[in-house]
Amino acid sequence: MIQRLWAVLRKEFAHILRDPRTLLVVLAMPLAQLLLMANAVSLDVHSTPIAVVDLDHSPASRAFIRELSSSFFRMTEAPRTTVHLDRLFRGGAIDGIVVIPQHFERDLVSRPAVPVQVLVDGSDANTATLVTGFVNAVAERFSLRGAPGSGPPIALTTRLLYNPEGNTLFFIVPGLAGLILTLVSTLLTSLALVREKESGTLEQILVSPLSPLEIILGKVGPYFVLALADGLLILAAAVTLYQLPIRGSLPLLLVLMLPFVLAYLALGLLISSGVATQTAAVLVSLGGTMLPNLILSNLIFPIASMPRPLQLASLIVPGRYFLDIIRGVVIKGVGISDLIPQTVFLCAFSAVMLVISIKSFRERLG
Amino acid sequence: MAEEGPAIAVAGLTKSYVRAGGRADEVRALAPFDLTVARGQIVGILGPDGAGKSTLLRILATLLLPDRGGGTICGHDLVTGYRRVRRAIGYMPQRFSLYPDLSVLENMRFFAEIFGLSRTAFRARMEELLAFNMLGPFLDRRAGALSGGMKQKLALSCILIHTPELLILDEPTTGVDPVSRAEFWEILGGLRDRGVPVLVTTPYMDEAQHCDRICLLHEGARLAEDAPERIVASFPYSLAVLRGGDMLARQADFGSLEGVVRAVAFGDRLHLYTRDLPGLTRRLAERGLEVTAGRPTLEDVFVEKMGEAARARA
Repeated sequence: MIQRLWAVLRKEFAHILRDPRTLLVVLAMPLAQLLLMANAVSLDVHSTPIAVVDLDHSPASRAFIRELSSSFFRMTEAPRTTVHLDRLFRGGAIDGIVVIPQHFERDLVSRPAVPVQVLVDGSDANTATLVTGFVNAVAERFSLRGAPGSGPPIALTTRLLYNPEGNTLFFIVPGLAGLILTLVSTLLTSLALVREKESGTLEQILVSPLSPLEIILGKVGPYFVLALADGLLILAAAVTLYQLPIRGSLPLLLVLMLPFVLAYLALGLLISSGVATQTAAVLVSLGGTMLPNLILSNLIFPIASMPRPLQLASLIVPGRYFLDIIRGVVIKGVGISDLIPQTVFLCAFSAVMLVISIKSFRERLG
Repeated sequence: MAEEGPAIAVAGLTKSYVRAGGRADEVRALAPFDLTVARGQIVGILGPDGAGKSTLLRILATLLLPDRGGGTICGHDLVTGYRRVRRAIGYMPQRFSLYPDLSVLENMRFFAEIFGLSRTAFRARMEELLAFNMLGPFLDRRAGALSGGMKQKLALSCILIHTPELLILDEPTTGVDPVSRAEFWEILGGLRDRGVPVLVTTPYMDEAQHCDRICLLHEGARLAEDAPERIVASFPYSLAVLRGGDMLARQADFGSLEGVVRAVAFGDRLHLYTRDLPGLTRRLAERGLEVTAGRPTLEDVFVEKMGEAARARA
């Protein structure tokens, strides 16, 4: 058993080391994905383009505009009238328009409230919420400054724990690391068996004393090492490129990565024994891992606000538990004592997946 | 282990495939098929592509389950004892099925290890195998870079490493140059002489001479099974041979000629099967055509048996 397993392990390592394409996929793809996704998924608002229509042209209106532009917005050229404002949105050049009415300065002094119109592009709900939020904040600040002494009854002092700058990359990047690991692990092994089916070598080694256990473990082993190397690579990239702090224990994170990676390697093998071609293997792997881990893992969309059936479905998505782990260890610096349920789930899940993939390995053709 | 029994004893093997696209449309790949292979024999399964040769061999190698029928391979049950069968036999699939990115030595070592040879046993076995496969100078070459003939010799060496009790080889000489084919058959003869039974398929009728027994397979059914020379001797007709390309166009005319049972084209020759060779020769000579008497070959037997089988079905 040991001799046979060792023989398969050594053969698989040789395949990987002699195939530059596999190595490229393993090393370059995750980095490329991290760069692409981290920049695309970032939720921070920097220089959102808005236009301001100033119908008052007073010192007060100009002060308000200054206040707006000093924060998150980038001012585009402002139209002089309110006619055809919606045209500005159609091209997608701006995300919001603020209209300062005539007599703005005068009314600030004489009236209890001055209406300032904010138009936002509702087709992008995320940006719309952010824009209104920021304009509100600016308006509030501006009003308070104009009327000293009359502060609001409740003064909120918010302090963001673990991530004082509110850097969404700190939130996104660990999640992406988990997502990329999922993809790479599943893809690697999903091709491993089907490749031997396509080349006919599986037919040859089936007529031998090799058992499904030996074939599966022999396939998982080398890719296990590769996937862990990938995990380290992604973390290193996140630390150097995005200044991700690793506040907790790196060894703990790596140890907890083991069952997570193993679960997806086993899933990949399960896919590999069920399909006939490498193309099918890639498609099923992408479909089977991308969607659940993107949507049901708390990566971007909070599970707590999902309908009940989706919440239940998310309970069996390993990415959800690994996200708790990686965010916990990396950002909050928590230890194993706070991650026991997640760890237990991942261990159980990977064991079950491994058993299923061994049991469903077909020892015959056709 | 049943050392004394036959290497292969199977009966009633059937296998059908569902044709792609059609649900009720089943293709019978193997009709009820019996086969016995004694130890120390080379048995050849001959038949054209699609005759069911690979299906039969895959069933015997435990890679496919027969729909019905069964038997023993090296004394182990074909269905329930498949693990033991797999340890006992050496099976070579039709396609080259070694790892092209591993070297000759690495491929051989891999098979030695999965069959549980110790290092010393492997070294000793390597020397024996290198003596006949002549791959000594190419040990570090990647298998994918070998010539067709060398690939087949390497594949054979890999399945011989564990000293199997029976060899099952699926078209090992297809696509191999004539010199390598002759070498390959010589190796198989040597193995047979050492008592290893060999079951081999081939689409080449001229390779039958290397076999102790042959079985003609057509559409999953046996047309004949015997020693090759006895099968040829069983041909019931005399053979008249006509040469020349213009003859081929008139194949149908000759087929309906008096005294001709069947006219079959082989390359640029036309074979006329007849019960009355002198009479036919005379009649054709009257028409200015010169025929020579030919010795029937296995191909003639095959064509005749195929015709017989078709008539029996009709």
